[in-house]
Amino acid sequence: MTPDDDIRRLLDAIPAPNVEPVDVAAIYRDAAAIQARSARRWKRATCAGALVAASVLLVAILPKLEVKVTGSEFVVRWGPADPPPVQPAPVVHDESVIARLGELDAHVTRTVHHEKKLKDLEDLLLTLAVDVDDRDGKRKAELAALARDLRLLRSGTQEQFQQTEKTNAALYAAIFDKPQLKE
Amino acid sequence: MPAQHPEPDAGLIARWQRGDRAAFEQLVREWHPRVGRFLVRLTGCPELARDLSQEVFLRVYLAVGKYRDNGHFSTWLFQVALNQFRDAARKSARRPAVALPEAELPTEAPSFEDRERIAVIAEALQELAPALREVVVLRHYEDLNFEAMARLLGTPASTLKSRFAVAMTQLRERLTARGLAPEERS
Repeated sequence: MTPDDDIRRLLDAIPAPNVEPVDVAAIYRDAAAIQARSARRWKRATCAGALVAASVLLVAILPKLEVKVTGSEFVVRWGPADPPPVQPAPVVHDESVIARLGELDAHVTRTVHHEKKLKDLEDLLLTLAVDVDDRDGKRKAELAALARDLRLLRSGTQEQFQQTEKTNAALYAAIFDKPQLKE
Repeated sequence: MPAQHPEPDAGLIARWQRGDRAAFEQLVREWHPRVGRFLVRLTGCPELARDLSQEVFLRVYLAVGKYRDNGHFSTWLFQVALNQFRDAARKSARRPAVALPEAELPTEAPSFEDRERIAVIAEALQELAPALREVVVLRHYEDLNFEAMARLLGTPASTLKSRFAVAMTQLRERLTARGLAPEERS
């Protein structure tokens, strides 16, 4: 005998309670009510969802909405209006206008020709300028070389002159100053 | 679940799940006495137990599409019943009735003295915390072993054994305090 056996024996003293039968009809009734409530909730949720979607759509479209009622048409438009159709240029049959257009064409052709000539002249001038610069450079180099030669010649001449003066002085002294020394 | 209540026939479950009302009603007839007794013992209040029992079978009816039959209908049914009991215990601030009303006692209850004794024992049982009461009812009255209880309650068997021991100790103390010492009975 375990220590709990006495307690369990006392628990056994409580008789099995009588239980009332379950009301199945009430279950069906309650289930139907719950399902109806659930269906109503779903319906409300669906309506609310549709309302929200419609509101969002409206908010998105309303600023661009354009309603136009004219004599024979009713227009509901959202988004920017279509661009006006491009009209083909009208065919001109006026002779003076055609002549003027011909003159304009000729003028344009002449202008293009002149521009080409001007471009050629500009190229020629640039070539000449380059050539002049080139020649100028060469002349400057030649002049510099000439100046250098001249400076060398001048210094050589001066040196020669100084040597000659020294020689002359020596000769002069040798010839004219010697007897005076003997006296 | 206990051996004296075998699982319902798979064919019956299948018919119920196909929406056969007769099958559902047969399930109710077979299982409501046991679920009802279980709930009366947990709540100590036959009126509340009757309402909860009604609610349990309403849940069963509504869950027809959700239930996946794996041969453990009774475990699932008792889980539904336990959830209903726990919800009711949470919602209800009042203490459950402490004794079975006279009308609920079997007609063969012999004497006033026996009725008093039964009321005292039932009161002691109802004074247990719900978690302890669940263990006592499942172990003693529903004759579940601790492994089956663990599956049903989602609580480790070792924890349930400890709870059962605590419940027995508390019952002993309370019965002794009420002059119904177990030693006197043995």
